[in-house]
Amino acid sequence: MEEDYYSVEAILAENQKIQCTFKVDIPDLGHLDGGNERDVGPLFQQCVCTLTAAPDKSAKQNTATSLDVLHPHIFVGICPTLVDFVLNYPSSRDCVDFTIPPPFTARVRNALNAEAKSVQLSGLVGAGGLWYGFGKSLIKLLDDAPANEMSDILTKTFKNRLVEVIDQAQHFAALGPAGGGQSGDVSQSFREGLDGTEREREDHYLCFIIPSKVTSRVTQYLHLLKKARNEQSNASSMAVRANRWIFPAVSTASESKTTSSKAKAASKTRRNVGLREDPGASMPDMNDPSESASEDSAEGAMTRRVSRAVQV
Amino acid sequence: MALPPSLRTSVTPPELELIASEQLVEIIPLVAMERTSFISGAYGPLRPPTKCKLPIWMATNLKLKKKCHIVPPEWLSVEFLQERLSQETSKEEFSQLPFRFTEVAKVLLDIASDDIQNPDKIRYLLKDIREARQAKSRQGLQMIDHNELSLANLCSMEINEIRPFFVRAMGVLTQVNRDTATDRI
Repeated sequence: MEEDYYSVEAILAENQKIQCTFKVDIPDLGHLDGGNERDVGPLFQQCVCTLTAAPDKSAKQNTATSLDVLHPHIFVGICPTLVDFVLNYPSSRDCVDFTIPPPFTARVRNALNAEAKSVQLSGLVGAGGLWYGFGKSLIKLLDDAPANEMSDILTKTFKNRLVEVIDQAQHFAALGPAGGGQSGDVSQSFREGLDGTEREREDHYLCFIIPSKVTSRVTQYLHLLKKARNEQSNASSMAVRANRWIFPAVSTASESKTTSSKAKAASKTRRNVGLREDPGASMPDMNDPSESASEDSAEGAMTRRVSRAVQV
Repeated sequence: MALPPSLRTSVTPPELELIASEQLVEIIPLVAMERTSFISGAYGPLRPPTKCKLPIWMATNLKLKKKCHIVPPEWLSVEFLQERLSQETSKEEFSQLPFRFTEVAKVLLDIASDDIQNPDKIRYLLKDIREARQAKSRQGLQMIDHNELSLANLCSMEINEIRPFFVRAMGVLTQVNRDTATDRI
């Protein structure tokens, strides 16, 4: 999500294709999309041929035009980074237009307005994609009004889904590694539709699972500490037997006894916490395929980045 | 950092208890002791049966050795908590309770339940209050935006409970919001 150049999340988020219309030919930038062509222009003609409804006509038209003439090309399959680059490069915004990509069309917006929790965000951007991150990179490309609108959509969606995400995370944190078997269809599909931002990359699970351990830790604390303290009190009564009065002159024997019992109690609690600490382990297989897929796409984006860096 | 991820996000309850144990509590000593200085300050003298104020950690130590009775603070009583609970359930905002009431109540109920009147009833009340407040802070998270979330009268345990969610959600919202400084450049 951050804009850090080396952030893997940012790379993943921008690894999406958007449909663009170029108004000018751009010479010598064909390599940016990984093709062998020298100019961006001819590259687009191929795309028009393969992807638009009337390939023959447009192809002919385009091949007939010379490099200097302005003519629109439709190019599907360009990532926001590249658009960003192209937008900044010729110091004008007149050379490329893009349409709002499918994850943010009116249909999706209406669905989000109706009930944000029922939209499967992960399904919109594909495996390893980040809906929020993609939206954020689009904000950079848009003008004021639509950009604000987009920001509103992202913010509202996140807020509306937040409570449900937290609830589910707490539910799973409370269940521990064995849990997660039974749950309603709604929450199940909500979980499957979580965006990468809402998940935790570290353990492939709900992003809020680690925070929600804190909640269970509080509950645990309120219940369990009594035991630990009782142990301590037994030990200290032994200590009292050894020393008539501890406070003004603390004897080392009683001290070591107390601390060892404390350590015992602490290790006991820690062991308890440790048992509940790994809820991610319960469903490792669920996320594995998507992870490998996203790795591939991340690699592609990375090479693109590197080539861009070399170019700059 | 070498800490496990679950400990990095927030302060743990035992740590909060440690902090809360610096607070003073009234005791009735059963043994006499001169005024003694510790790292955190000088406490005493203990002259039974005169009441005396000591930090909770010291009171705990004495109590476990049966060398004092603890005088519970006035808010740790059935009437007070009952009233707070009814406020909690009838009003929108959080009721006013001591900042570290959870920790202090927990410690005192654990070690000195014989000095407190009706400890079981108090436990139930505290649990009810906690649940009512939890529901409120969960609703409160919905009001979060990219630069503030104000929940008055939240106590330390609750703050640390919602801290990780809150930090994380705010981070995302800051990224997603357009009017951040990074976008204006």
